[in-house]
Amino acid sequence: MALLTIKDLVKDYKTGKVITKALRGIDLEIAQGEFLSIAGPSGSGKTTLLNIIGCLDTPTSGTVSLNGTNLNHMKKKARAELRKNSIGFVFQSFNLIPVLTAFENVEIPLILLNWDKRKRKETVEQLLVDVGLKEYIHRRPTEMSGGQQQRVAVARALVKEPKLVLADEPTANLDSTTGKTTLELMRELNEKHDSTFIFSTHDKMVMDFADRLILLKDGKVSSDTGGKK
Amino acid sequence: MLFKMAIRNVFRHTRRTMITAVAIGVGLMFMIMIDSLFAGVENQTMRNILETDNSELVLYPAGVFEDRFMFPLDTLIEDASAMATELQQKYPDVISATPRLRFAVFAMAPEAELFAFGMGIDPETDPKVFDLQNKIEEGRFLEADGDLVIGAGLAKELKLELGDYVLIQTRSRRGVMDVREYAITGIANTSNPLINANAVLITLADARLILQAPAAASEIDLHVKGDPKETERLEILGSEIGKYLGADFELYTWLDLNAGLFEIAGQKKSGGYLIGLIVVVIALVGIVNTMLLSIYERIPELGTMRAMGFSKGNIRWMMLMEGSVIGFFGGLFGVILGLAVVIPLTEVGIDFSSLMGDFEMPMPIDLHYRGEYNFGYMAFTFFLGWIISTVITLIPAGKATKIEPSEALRST
Repeated sequence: MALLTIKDLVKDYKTGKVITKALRGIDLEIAQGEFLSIAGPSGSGKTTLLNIIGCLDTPTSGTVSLNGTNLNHMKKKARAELRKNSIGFVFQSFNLIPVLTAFENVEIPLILLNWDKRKRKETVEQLLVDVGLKEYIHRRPTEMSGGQQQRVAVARALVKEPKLVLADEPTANLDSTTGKTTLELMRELNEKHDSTFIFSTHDKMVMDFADRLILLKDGKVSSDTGGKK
Repeated sequence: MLFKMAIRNVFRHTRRTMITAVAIGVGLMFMIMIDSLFAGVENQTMRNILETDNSELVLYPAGVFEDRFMFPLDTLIEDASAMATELQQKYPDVISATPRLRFAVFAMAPEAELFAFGMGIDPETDPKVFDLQNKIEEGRFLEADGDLVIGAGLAKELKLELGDYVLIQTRSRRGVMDVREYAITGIANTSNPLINANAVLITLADARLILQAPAAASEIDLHVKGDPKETERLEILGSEIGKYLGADFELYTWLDLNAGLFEIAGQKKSGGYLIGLIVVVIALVGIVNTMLLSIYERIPELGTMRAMGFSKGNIRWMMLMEGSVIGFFGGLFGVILGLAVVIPLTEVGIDFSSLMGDFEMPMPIDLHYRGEYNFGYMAFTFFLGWIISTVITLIPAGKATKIEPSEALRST
């Protein structure tokens, strides 16, 4: 069974009397452990699709099912619970909490899941070592480079070992070398944890790095290439 | 973690936080200052009354209370000195007792004439209840029959000085007009305008002689143990004495006798508190503003938190804690600033006497205002500032919880 099933997904945005059709009927199936990229020009609907998959937004019509559960029928609170338990996010601007250290930023998802303190400490420290930030554990985001911040963000997304990691243009604010290092890190973690990674991007390097590439154009899937695991 | 985040968020913009907290503190400082000032004035007024005019508990013949300022002589307490001694001996709570005989007077001096009121005072027992003997500005207090002490304000109006002669015209209880000449042996200067501007004090024996009321008095003033503000205790004692003496007598507390005065003071106090409260409300608008600013700055951050699974309750709780921390410092500043104002206000005071010149205040209030320490009220304002700041943060916190994560993340 697919981890994620999307059927005839439509999303319209209404601004005053103007209706913008962001998604015009998307059909997709994504399996557990896939490492896939959703690409397309600006305004093609990449972020909207990620937001709906990540329970951050709701579709106008169509269905999105995660592990057989229809997300459309879930209430806000249940969607928040699902995000907390099963979905990790990586953002273009890293979006770390500026008042918290690297350790604390990565620790937050575990606190929300009520892990005990000792286990949290072990897990977070190990993960920060895995992403190469052993020396930066007690630094705040402003004391780290963009690449280091994005690695913290990746660690934060993965610390609870979610089924699904959604990354919205994760390399857009990074130079190519750091971007590549970050992608390699995500690939490594994808293999290690069998988490499903979905990227939105218009970076050629990211598209080449992914196992599967879905191209969006004007809110529709224009091509879907690459194998499923 | 939420608390840690709240604390750190508050100190993300230390200057802004401190300005908001100081604004709340200034509002609370006004409340503390107003309370101190009014408490000081109230206590001074009470002390002035108790030192010069009425004791804690006053015994009157039944039925004269309403007309007491008309100085009726047809209903007096007969054998008053003996009764005063008896009451003092019978009730351990009564420290001392003294009879006073009040009467209407027309005072005539070579250059002016004025209506005033006379008061017959027992020079032996009166100083055990009142403190008039220490309010003598010139000359001496009453010592022997034939002595006369006049209020400083009245002496000035009559253009009289120590040693000058004054004619005292009065009518006895039998309706006989009497005029006597007295040499002024003392000039009393009190903060009680009733005494200062209106009183002529002679010995009780002289007054009884003039008024043809041997052994009588218009009242017996009882000096009672304990805090005079505990009026319930005074009422209980008054009721016990009343039962003992029977229906021919009535007892009133000092507060009953000056109820109108304290009612006005109470209204002024409420007005003062209202001003203080308005200042606090203005300061609280500041905290709402600060919190809203903080929320608008952090929209993407709040969106990220919501995306990670923070519930609306978590966000609201964090915001409330931020408001609470600002409120805590606001309350603390309020108490510190309040103390900075109240200490000099109480220890040094504000002297309006040079500003007011010869103006006689219509109430028994010192022109040298002094505050009072009210640590209980300071604690109250601290908690008031803290709690209201926390509660009012519900407004911006509600705003923060309404932020949709997808929209918040779009503004990254």
